[in-house]
Amino acid sequence: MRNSIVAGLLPALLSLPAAAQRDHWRQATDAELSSVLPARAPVANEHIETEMRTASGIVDDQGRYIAGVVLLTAGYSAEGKYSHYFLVQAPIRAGGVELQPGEYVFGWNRSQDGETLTVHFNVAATGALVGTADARLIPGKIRAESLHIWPPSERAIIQIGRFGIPFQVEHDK
Amino acid sequence: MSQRLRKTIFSAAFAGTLIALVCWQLSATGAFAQTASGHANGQSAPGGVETGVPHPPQFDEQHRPITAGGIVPSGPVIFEDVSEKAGLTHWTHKMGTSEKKYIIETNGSGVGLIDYDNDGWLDIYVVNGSTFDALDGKETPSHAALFHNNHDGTFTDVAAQAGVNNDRWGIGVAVADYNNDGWPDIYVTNWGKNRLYHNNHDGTFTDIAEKAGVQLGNWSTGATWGDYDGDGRLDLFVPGYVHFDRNNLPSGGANGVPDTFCTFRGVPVNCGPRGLKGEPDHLFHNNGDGTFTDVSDKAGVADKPGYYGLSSLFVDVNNDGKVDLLVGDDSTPNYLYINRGDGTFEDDSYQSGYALNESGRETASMGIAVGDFQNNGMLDIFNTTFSDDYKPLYRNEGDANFTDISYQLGIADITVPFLGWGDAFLDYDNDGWKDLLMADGHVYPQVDHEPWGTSWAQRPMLFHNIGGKKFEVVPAVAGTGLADIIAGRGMAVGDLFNDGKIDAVINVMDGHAVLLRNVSPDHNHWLELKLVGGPKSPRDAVGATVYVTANGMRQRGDVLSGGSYGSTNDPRPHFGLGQATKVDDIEVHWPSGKVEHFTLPGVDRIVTLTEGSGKP
Repeated sequence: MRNSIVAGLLPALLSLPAAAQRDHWRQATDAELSSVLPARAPVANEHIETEMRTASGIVDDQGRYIAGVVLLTAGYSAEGKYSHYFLVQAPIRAGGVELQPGEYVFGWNRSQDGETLTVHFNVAATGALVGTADARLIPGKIRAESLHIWPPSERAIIQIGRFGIPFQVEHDK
Repeated sequence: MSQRLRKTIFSAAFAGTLIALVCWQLSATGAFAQTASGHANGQSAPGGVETGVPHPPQFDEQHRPITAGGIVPSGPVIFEDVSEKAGLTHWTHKMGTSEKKYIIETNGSGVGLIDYDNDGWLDIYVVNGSTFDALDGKETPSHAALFHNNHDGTFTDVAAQAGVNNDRWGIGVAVADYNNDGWPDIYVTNWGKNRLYHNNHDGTFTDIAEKAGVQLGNWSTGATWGDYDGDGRLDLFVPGYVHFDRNNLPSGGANGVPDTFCTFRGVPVNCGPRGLKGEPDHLFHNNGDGTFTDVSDKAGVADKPGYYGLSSLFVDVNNDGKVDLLVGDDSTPNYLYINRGDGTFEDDSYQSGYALNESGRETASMGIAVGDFQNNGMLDIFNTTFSDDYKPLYRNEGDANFTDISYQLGIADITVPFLGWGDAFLDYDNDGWKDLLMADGHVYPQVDHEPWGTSWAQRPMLFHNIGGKKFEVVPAVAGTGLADIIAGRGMAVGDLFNDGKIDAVINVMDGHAVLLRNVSPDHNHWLELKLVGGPKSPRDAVGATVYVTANGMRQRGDVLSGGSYGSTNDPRPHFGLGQATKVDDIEVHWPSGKVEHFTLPGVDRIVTLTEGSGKP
């Protein structure tokens, strides 16, 4: 009986952050990600190599992607200005930052207590700052990931390491 | 507990997790309104990614990079540099030229602590590099050193007499008794063919690597010994780094190596490891007849992606009595393989949290240290990494789940300018809490010409464990070992003088080996255990776990081979006992699976425990 109650609550609990989602989004496959993400990402005046095995993204039934991949910024894992290339083909709000369709890069700084990443989103072509948002430690036992963009129907989180930024897909404007 | 109650508890826990996740999402969503900022901030983009490192340079009062400065005039003396007095300065490490034009010339070599003559005193094996001229026969190859312990504070290099010169481009050393004859053997990894030096019991060794089938042929690094299949014989794991081709030397813009991988902060440096082909890892099963069989694929540890392995360690991280396998990879995800107990491993790297640091970054892992710094019976992991990156300490949460808590422990920001290599948990002051030591040095000579707050030669760092809750850096007092500014690489720790204090030996790039003698002024008590395995365990008990209860604490120690960059520590578990003058219990978990308890008549001694002589 108790199991039934919990099982019944599960879809409702999980659907809370996804309530605003209009379209059907699913996890993109590796092949799909390879087809839309660049091997060398255009960043300001340069093209920076990407680490395709870190790619993650979602795709909707209209073929629009929200996807990202780690930038190889210095040959070693220094905490560079930009850590990830981020492709947005449907408008989203990530941690309060509104991102219209376009190509972005983001990077982060870690708080002294290690509990928060302050993530800054920039326009890939110009480096112009779009906004900053906090990524916070996700509770519970969870895989550490270079990047994991979760489908809204599951978690609606952009996961960096074990930190997450909630996001939602916005209505087209 | 009834089935229904179990289900109820499970359901409640599951629901709690879901609610916590949803609450986390809601709270984070609520928070973003305050943290979001817009275009109005108008921050400009950097000119190039290499200049975008957010860590500001750190200098001391004399404007020296903090890695070569920050030295205080007085304070407690923990380590005395006794290298010269001990006779270690007559030998010099050499690897390539001082320009370090190629990555093969700059990674350096390791140290192995070994009582090769079974006289009860640790000797020191120090691996040497080589040069292209030596390979071409234009100069004499550099020899490794085997420093025999003279029991009087001095050492004598007997490598030539012992037949362990190596004379190849040496990288690492893993020490263990692979054939259970009671005498430790030496596996040396090279760029080129590796050596397995079989101990002849008379002060000499014979290289049997070819016959044994463990030579390989390109760039092998920090190997480890462990009995992964529980047959009582030690098996061998050898990580591969880069496939380095002498006939196709990597350089920027040529040979297919993008310039991105040949610069650091915009300055041209030697290329790699990114952009270079990775060398696979190998697991060799010990057949028990002096030969080994490569079972890498079958066991699931072959490193198909070709990550850049630098260090490895067989160790039981989930307390199930079977050794698991850690591999520290440079600029690629680390591996954590869980031993299934059927001859194969499960890749638990990402799920465990060990593949990346807490913020999802692949790290340039160099050395692996394991130790139970909280005295809770579970082994934690500390990895050294590159400069401009902190050094992650992964706390063991149980069930092979690790959380990187370097920031919470106070060892994150302070380690950023340093490029760490050899590392170890050690209780330097015998207070019962395991401290941390790491050897440091940069791979690019160019850093000495840039205002980045880092340096080619760097001082070692020692952190004092404050009750398992914090680590505090131990000041580098002028004139002491912690103020040595050296190009540190491999490091091994152990009690070289049988006085109950843990010392350290550091292999220095293009320099002499450094012996840091522990002269901590504490008066705490201690215990060291030499374990001898029975017929169903490896004779040297590699893989055994010991729990010592004393002074109101239960400490854990393990017999291990490998881990620290290309190096092997003292095989004798060491326990600081604080003010305790007696040990309440010693519980040994032998590799065979047998658990025995031992009692001792006193403390401050080195005791041999043999499997089968304890009480159940």
